[in-house]
Amino acid sequence: MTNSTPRLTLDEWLRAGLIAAYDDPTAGCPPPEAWLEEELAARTPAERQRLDAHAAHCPACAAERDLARTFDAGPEAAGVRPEDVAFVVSRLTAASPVRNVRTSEKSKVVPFPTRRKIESSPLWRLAAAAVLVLAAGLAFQLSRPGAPPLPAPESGGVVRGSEVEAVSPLGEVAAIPAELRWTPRSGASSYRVRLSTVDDTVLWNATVPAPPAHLPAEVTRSLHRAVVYVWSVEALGPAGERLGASEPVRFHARPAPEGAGGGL
Amino acid sequence: MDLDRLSDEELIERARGDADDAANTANADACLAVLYRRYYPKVAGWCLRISGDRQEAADLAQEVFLRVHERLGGFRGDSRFSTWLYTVTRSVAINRGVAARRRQTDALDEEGMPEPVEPAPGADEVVAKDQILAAFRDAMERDLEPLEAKVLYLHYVDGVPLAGITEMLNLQNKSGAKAFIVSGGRKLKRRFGSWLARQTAGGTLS
Repeated sequence: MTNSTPRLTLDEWLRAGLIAAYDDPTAGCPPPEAWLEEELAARTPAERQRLDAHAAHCPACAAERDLARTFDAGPEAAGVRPEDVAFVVSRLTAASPVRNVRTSEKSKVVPFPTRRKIESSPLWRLAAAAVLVLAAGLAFQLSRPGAPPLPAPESGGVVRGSEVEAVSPLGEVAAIPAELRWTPRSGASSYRVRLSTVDDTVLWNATVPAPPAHLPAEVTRSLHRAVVYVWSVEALGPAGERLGASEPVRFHARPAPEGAGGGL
Repeated sequence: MDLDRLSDEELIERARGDADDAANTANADACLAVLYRRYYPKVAGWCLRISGDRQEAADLAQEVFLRVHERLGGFRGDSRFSTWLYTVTRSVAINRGVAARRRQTDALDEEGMPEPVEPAPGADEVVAKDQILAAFRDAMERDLEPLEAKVLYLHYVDGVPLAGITEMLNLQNKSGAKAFIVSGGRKLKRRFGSWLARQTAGGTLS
């Protein structure tokens, strides 16, 4: 603290004080993960008793214990709404770093990052440096007010599901699409298409004789740039039986340039 | 092989072995897919609880699994996977500043906020830092209710937004965690702030 120290708000003062006061290795605080149920179970009763006694007068550990207990409790006991959990899980599934969570395509799988490769490859170090630069930029972006941008979905190409291949739109597209395209399946008499939001609210569905499926004007008018939508298609046989289906495909239209009026 | 029957650690070991063989990367990914799916609801629930907002929770949870995937190669099995996952989840949440950003909007309003603390000139010349911190800890324990102290820590250090704290601690009062932030802040300002002013003015600390 010096004469040049700027005036601190109570918020700033408390944050600095709390961090300094409880980031003390001599205070006897266990690591945050020590409060997880499985970790506690591995300790002796005497150790658990000592930790509880410590948390009784240490707000840092009391707080960490609550965070760990919330994790242990799982979504049901934590009291969050099932539909919210389903929403987050659907986002995780759609954006999984492991590609075959949502597709069986083998050519695009993400290699498992083994320890051996990480330690031995100089290329990895270069890549890591690049990632750090990018991460710094991302962290800067995330630290700014406002919602962070979603990672851009994959763009272009064909999504090969188990049976029907969705062609377009995929990933980022230039404009709100007017139609949905897929590769015809042999033996199919018709196709049932479905367009929805990422939380699975259906915006439009229809059955068409062949690709493409033209989106009605009222549907295209209801779509917005920079918002992610999901579509899928099912191939139907002569009797309406299901022959196969595509994977759900995500797309969004590129945001309008500055000054473009924000229209579609 | 029914991968769902394998333990977390067995899935990781199997994925690691398959990943070393270029022809089996799909098998490795299948193992990781099972592993991640196993924990999606748990991480989702935690992120929802501490963020208090499902869009924010979805972004946070997504970042957690990206980070897990990046770092899993370095997971040596010294701890359980679930423990390691928690450390990554917590770390991402705090570093990301779930709360740092939300705190901007959660900040105490003028009515509930005591006057800013302005250190006395040259205070660092007379007051030893460790003595201040010891006194601060004492004040936290002596003057604040345990719940007030915990809420302060969750908000200011762990960065949990007020809405998240209110829900996580099941606070039933009208203004939730904010009331504890205000009352705890006032007590600290009144007791510890006064003590600090006396010590620095009198030069009794060295």
